[in-house]
Amino acid sequence: MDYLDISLQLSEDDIAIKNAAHEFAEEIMRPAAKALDEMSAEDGVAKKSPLWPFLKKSYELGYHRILLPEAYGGLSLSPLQLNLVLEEWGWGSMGLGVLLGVAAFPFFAIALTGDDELIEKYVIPFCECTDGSIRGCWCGTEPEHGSDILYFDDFFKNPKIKGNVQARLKGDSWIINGQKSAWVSGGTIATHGLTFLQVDPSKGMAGGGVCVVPLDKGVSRGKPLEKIGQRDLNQSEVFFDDTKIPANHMITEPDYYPEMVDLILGAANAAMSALATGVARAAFEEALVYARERVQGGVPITKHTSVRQRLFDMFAKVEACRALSRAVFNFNFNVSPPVTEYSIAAKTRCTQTCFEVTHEAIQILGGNGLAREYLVEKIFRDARASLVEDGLNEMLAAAGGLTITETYPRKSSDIY
Amino acid sequence: MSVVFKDTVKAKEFYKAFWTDLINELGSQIDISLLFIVKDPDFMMYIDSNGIKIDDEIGDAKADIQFTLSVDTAHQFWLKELSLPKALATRRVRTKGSLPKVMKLLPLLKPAYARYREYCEKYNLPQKI
Repeated sequence: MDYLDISLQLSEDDIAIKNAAHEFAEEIMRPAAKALDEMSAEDGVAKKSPLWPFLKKSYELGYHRILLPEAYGGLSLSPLQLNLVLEEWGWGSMGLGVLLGVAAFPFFAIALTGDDELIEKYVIPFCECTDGSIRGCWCGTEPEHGSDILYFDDFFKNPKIKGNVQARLKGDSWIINGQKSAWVSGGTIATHGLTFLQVDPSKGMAGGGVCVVPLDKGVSRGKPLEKIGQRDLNQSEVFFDDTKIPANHMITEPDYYPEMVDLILGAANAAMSALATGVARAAFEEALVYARERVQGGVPITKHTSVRQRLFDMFAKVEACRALSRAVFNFNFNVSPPVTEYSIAAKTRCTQTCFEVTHEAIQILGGNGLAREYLVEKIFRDARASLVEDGLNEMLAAAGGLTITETYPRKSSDIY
Repeated sequence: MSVVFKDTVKAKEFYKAFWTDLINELGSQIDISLLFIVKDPDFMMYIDSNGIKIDDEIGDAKADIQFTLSVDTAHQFWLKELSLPKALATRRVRTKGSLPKVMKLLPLLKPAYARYREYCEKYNLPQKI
């Protein structure tokens, strides 16, 4: 369903990009997401899975390169256009939206470095790929570390706290050992990982690094994770066993690792807010369509005041999510480095609101809302997962709280 | 206090010459405008395909991308002693303007690194900080 966009700033290009992304979300994402949701996690990544034609189509259409610069074959979308596309992806499927986002992650990070050799070796082939055979993931989460790696309180520098994946320099190479936990999005099928790991244990978690790891040698994966929601997003453990990468693949070393994590979080959380807005809108639309048709007491339930009030509340929440997400996206993709507490505010608020709206949608559908036959059953589960992924909302709030207690109010002259 | 430039006049002269040369080489490839707010010594420089404007010459011109950085940071960047991600993450370079435009600029600057060293030799500037 289309919606009235209350921004008067959208250009013809913006609208065309939004419409194309909506068509993709409706015709390609939703059918694939529904099929994957109903399969076991293992079948979801098997040879005959609908995942593969979905990825092929996505790459053919160029959606894997929306973040990347034109000079390397990317689409160079503006911040607003990125936000529009991500909302539509969320509307189609949050899980598959995350999968497409992380597929570009290592290549986006390399493009930022401007390193010719790495760009030639990785970014250009990724942009040229049209069959989905080159896929990235974000190897962040560890068995003993999750959202805490995003929270730079005192413990972050405690040398007693060890990372579960460590790298040591040997000659011209880094040797990597350890384990990432089962929530590596796209980890089951990724060919390359943007990997966060510990380089200097004497600095605790602050002694980290960020590197790009081809996942073909010295790497094994766990079984795909069975989970409550976003079942269309494959996730698994990634194990590193004396995995060797050239020295220049370590793109961030401990001297600015915390700042780099903050920068990446600022971008990723903003993206999550747009995806969550799309999920909330999908739930609202499903509830509205159902309520217009469902007859109770001899009239469509839209004639009942309580239903009208609840639908309006859902509508208002979706609009509020979009306004916050777009504002933060527009700001944080137009200043560098981003002001991360605003991205955190958008992620936590939009995912929480999206969970509430999907919950309301189930209430309006009643018993049908609990049935697999209806989309709201799936998107409610997807929305629940969003409260945990990309940083547990409570931990993100603690991290954002630490920042605002130290820096609020920020001055624009300190930002740009 | 800058360790590279002792006075503003020399810094302006150096960067104006460097960018003029670069723009002549790139021609229409530079289809965006840049504003550098340089600190220590303080001056502003506006760049587009038509040329360079400094301080008062800039007037009301609006740039696609604005960079705020110290002159020593700029020097380190051009000498490839400081990567853009590190400069951004540590706030040594702050930008205003869309990230895709910033990223679009990077590949265009490739020929400039070697030329920057040539300029350093010509102006007798340190090639390491």
